[in-house]
Amino acid sequence: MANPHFGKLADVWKHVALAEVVELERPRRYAETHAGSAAYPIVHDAEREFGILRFLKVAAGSDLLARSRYNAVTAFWLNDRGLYPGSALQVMTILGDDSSYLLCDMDPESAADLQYWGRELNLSRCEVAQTDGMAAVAAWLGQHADQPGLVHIDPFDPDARGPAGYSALDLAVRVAESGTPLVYWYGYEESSDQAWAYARLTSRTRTPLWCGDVLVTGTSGTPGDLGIATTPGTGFGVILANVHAGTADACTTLGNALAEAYADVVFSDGSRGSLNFTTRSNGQAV
Amino acid sequence: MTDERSKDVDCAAAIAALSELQARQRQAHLSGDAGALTARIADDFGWCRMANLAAGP
Repeated sequence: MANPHFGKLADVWKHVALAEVVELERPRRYAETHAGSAAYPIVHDAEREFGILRFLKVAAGSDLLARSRYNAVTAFWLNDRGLYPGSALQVMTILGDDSSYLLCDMDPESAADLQYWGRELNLSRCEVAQTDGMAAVAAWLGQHADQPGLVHIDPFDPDARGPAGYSALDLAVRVAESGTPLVYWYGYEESSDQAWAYARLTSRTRTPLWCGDVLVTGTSGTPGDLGIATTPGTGFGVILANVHAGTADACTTLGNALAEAYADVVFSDGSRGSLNFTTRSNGQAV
Repeated sequence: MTDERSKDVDCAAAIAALSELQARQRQAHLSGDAGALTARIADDFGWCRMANLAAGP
């Protein structure tokens, strides 16, 4: 489904980490279970002003954020086309034809948009599958396993099972245990759920995982609702598996830089707060 | 429950509006400059394939 939350702060952190992982790991095969659309015409509302548009401003004053691959890719598309690049287009822009792509989404509009941009960029191995992404990526894992790959899982519902019986969390465990690099995104709306996906995944696999979690903190009494506004109590994070230690370190550095750049920030509801960035790891990354 | 339904409706409306914008954007982009766009991305982001092509056999 097209992601109506594109360019919000939760999307920013997801793509900061994803772009850096892709740049450093350079996979020859990339698969995404819930790809959404490739590109989104930018809108100037309070959430994007707080998300991507603020990021671009603060990145100009932060060497670390300015050097991030996300900053380069996103600035290119916004400046050149007025488009916010979704996950798939971020990765296509970084890797080009050096990688093959399996991009899954059940929504016909999203699939059409992915196909359109794959053609526009002349990508020779870009497969768009309008099907259950969990089953398609599970099958993909076993093919050409000799080539380094990367799986990105960004589910709407982490526990919903597709026709093949896999949930997003089930697939994440399978990918982690296959040795294939994994980027898994999660969100939450109450601070008590901080890093919930890390807790659940570490209970199901012994594969070393890294988690970079962003909890929005502040004094506003507005209830957290990740889908509507970035408010205190909401949060989001990225889990990595099977990546080089330097890749996780780079994401830690960028997460800290993001939190620093958003210190004492004014939220879209007018209240003040900060981002609390924390990392967790249960072992040395590969 | 009412709130949840109303959120679903809002979300569906937002997605529909977004899809329309995307379709219009794609239509507007059909200007024959895809090759130039790809070349600039390849240059900016160092695509190996393009570098190899430029280097020749």
